[in-house]
Amino acid sequence: MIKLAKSSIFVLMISCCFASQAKNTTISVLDVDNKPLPNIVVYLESDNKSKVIQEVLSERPIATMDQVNRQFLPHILVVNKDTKIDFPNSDMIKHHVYSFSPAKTFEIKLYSDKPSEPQLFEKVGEVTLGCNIHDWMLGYVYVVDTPWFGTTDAQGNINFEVPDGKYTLKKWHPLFQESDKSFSQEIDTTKDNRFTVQVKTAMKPQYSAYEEDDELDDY
Amino acid sequence: MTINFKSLQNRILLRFIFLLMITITIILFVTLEQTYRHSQNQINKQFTTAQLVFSDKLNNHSRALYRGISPISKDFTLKQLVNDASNDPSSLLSALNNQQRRIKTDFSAVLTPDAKAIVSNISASFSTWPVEKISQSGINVLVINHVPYLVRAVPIRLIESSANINAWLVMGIKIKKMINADLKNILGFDVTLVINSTVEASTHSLLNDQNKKLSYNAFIRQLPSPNVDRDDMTFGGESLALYKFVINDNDDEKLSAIFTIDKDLAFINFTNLASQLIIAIGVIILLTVFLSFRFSISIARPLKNLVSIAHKIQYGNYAEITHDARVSEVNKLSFALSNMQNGIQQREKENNQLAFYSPLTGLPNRNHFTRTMNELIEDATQQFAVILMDIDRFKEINDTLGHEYGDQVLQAIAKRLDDSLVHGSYVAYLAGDEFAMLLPCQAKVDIQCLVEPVLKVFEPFFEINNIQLDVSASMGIAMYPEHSVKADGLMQFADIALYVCKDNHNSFELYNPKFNTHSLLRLNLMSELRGSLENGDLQLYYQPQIDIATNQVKSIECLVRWHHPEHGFIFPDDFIPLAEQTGNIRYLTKWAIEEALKQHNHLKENGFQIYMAVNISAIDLTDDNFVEFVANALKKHNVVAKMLMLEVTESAIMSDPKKAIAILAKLKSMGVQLSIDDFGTGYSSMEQLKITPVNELKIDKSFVLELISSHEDAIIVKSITDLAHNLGLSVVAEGVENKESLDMLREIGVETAQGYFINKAIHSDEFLPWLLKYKENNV
Repeated sequence: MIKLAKSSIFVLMISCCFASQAKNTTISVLDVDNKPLPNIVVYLESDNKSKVIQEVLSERPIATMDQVNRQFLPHILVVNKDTKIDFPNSDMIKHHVYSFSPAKTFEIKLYSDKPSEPQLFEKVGEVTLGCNIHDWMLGYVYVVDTPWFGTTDAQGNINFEVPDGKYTLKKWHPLFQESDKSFSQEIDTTKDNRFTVQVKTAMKPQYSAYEEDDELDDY
Repeated sequence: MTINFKSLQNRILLRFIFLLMITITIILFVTLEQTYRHSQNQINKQFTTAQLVFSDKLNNHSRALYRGISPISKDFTLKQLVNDASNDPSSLLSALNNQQRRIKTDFSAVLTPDAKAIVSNISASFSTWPVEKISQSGINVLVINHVPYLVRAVPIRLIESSANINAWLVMGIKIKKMINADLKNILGFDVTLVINSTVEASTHSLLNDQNKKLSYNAFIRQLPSPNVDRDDMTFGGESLALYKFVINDNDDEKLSAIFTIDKDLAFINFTNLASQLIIAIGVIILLTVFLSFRFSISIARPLKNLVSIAHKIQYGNYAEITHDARVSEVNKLSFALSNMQNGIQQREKENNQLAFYSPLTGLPNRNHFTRTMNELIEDATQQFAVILMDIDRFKEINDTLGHEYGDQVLQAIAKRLDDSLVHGSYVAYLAGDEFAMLLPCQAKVDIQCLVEPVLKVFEPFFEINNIQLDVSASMGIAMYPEHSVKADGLMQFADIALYVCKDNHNSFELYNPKFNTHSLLRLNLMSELRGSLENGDLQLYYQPQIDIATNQVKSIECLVRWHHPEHGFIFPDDFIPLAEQTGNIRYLTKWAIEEALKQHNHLKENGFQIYMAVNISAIDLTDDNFVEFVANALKKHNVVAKMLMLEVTESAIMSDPKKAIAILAKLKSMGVQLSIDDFGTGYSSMEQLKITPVNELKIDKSFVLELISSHEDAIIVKSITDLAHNLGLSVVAEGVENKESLDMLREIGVETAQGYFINKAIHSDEFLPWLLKYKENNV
């Protein structure tokens, strides 16, 4: 908790330093039907390394992927590369969290409370989380290599305090088709501070492992 | 053995059996047909049920398979191995084999998300697995290397709730493992699994040995065409009912389950029913035939009895008829036969009475008499006399007192004769006024003593209807065996004796062989009469009649003479009555008329106009054609009618006066002259004489012969002559034999005379010379 507090203060400080240059930029995400999409990962990548370095601290704060009521919380967690994520167990029962994703393969065998070590996510990419003893539990960690990232609010909006300049805008969601996952667009914050990005293809349907299990419904 | 199809018994029997057969055939056919159809339906239902059960069984296996492999696909370790398969496939395959052993499947494979094998313990010929199809619920059949498997594919998701499919797990079970005795027991059928044209597995005893390739081929060859589900087949000597259940109908891999059952078992209910039915029907047939036989016999046997009774009746053997009341028709027939028999007996009696007894007198008739006489002759132990009896003057009784009275007289005579009979004697009534008797007697018996009792019968007078009547009889007697040993002969001789008796005016006459010539002659004459007419043995003789006033020959009477080549001259008195009796007189009269007319013409040619007198008989006066004949004869010979004079006796008119007078009237109207012959000897009345259309009376010679010596005769002749003249008739006197008589007749006023004094009857050849000579002498 102390580390987290420090980090917050640090970000605040930087913001103050670049206050004259920084601008509040808002990005809205719409679905194919022009409806706002919440909980979409949006991040901006910059070619200007100095700018990025200024933003990135050598020591990342530890992120948390909690397990509450046999669900991962949050459902999607976005972190900067080299961030450590803790997987505390807030339930009274044990969990067995694991991932076979190439970005981070790990397994925390049956445990309660807090594992001894947080997991370090060193590779950029998506990591799908599951629990070996609760098939329905599903969570995602998305690892980006940029300081400007976040998820859209209920209105499908996200605000960034970014220095003026050109950025590559990317978005991600587990149910995005590959085309939308790989799609990126260039924005220039010097000219405008509001951008709207629309999903090109309809998202995959929500999948439930139990709905398709018809043969057991017979009994 | 031949069957008489006309016999009632057999006809009833055969008809019963025929009807029974038809009924039974229909019942049998309908029942068996319906039962067979029912059995077929049952079998078809069982087949359908079996298909459902088998299908359900496959579904259950499919679910079990799914339930087996679904947890495996979620197994964390397996997921780890799948995740690491690119580095270490052997571990994954090993783990798969282990899982496969746990849930007893026959193969397993892990595929990439795009269905290519990562690891597999079966070498499939295809590279891409049809996961879309085999991941569905239901029966998924996959044929791998020609072996059909029940398969299931499930997705492997490394994160279970992720939408991403990371791999596929496929496992399969050989379907042939399900084809076993348990299945057969559950389905009730043999099941044979056929893939394309190969038997994969079978519960059939001839097919479940893997090595029986030949049987497989034979089975396949017998299968119906692909589109037929339900059929019958013959296999291994058994007739099978068959049903095809298509499990998988891919173009390249066709999988079917063939359900079969031995038809004997399938139709066991039908077969049992049929055999029970046939047994029942057999029993019914036997019973019915037996009862029909009994029934037909119950009708036919009494009929046979009645037939034999009828046969007996035919031969006059009358017997008591017993009645069989069991069949009413037969009973009626039997009563009818009984009544018929009684009727026949009764009528036989009546016929016998009619045939052998006289209804008038109640005495036996001629037939009975002849029969009785024949019996006596056959017996040959008893001598007897045959008496033929004729009542004298019976005709007079009939004529004067009436036939009814005559019949009463006959009845009275019959009664007296019957009463007079002594033991062994016999009396019969023959006909008319003739009776006959048979009197037993000794040889050389005094004939007077023999007939005495019979004569005594007639001694007292008969009193009938308050009239006393003196009746006498003439008897002709013939003796057996003295005169003849034959009935015919005895009758004939008695008849001759009777004839002689009557001629002699005796009361009886015993036959004497000397009568025989005379009698035989009489009997033969009639048969010869017509022949004699034709060959000229009969001739007309002519006796002249003179006009007393002028002494000139005025007319001639034509008299028949018979010169018989054997018997010589026969007197008219001998054959005229016979000719009258037999009716031959008709020919005689006609012949005489024609001869007379010829003679008239002959005389006319020689200058004499002579009247021709011809005698006609009572018979002629009953002949409707006689008038026509006379007219034709006159025309034929061109003779004036008045030149013909027909003489008829009073008695001839009397037999049928009405008709006779009518005929005489016709003749008179033609102009023919008529004369009453033998006037004074008959019984004719003045009333009769008054209406009889005649021209002349001819006084009988019995009054003329003694005219001179008998004062009475003279008075009679004078009276008759006066009577005739007063009635407007002329008179002829016969029997004039001397001049005194002729003179007296002239004095009395008689117009015409005939007799020996003038001339006897002479032959036609002699008559003309005599006439010429007479004319010369009396100019």
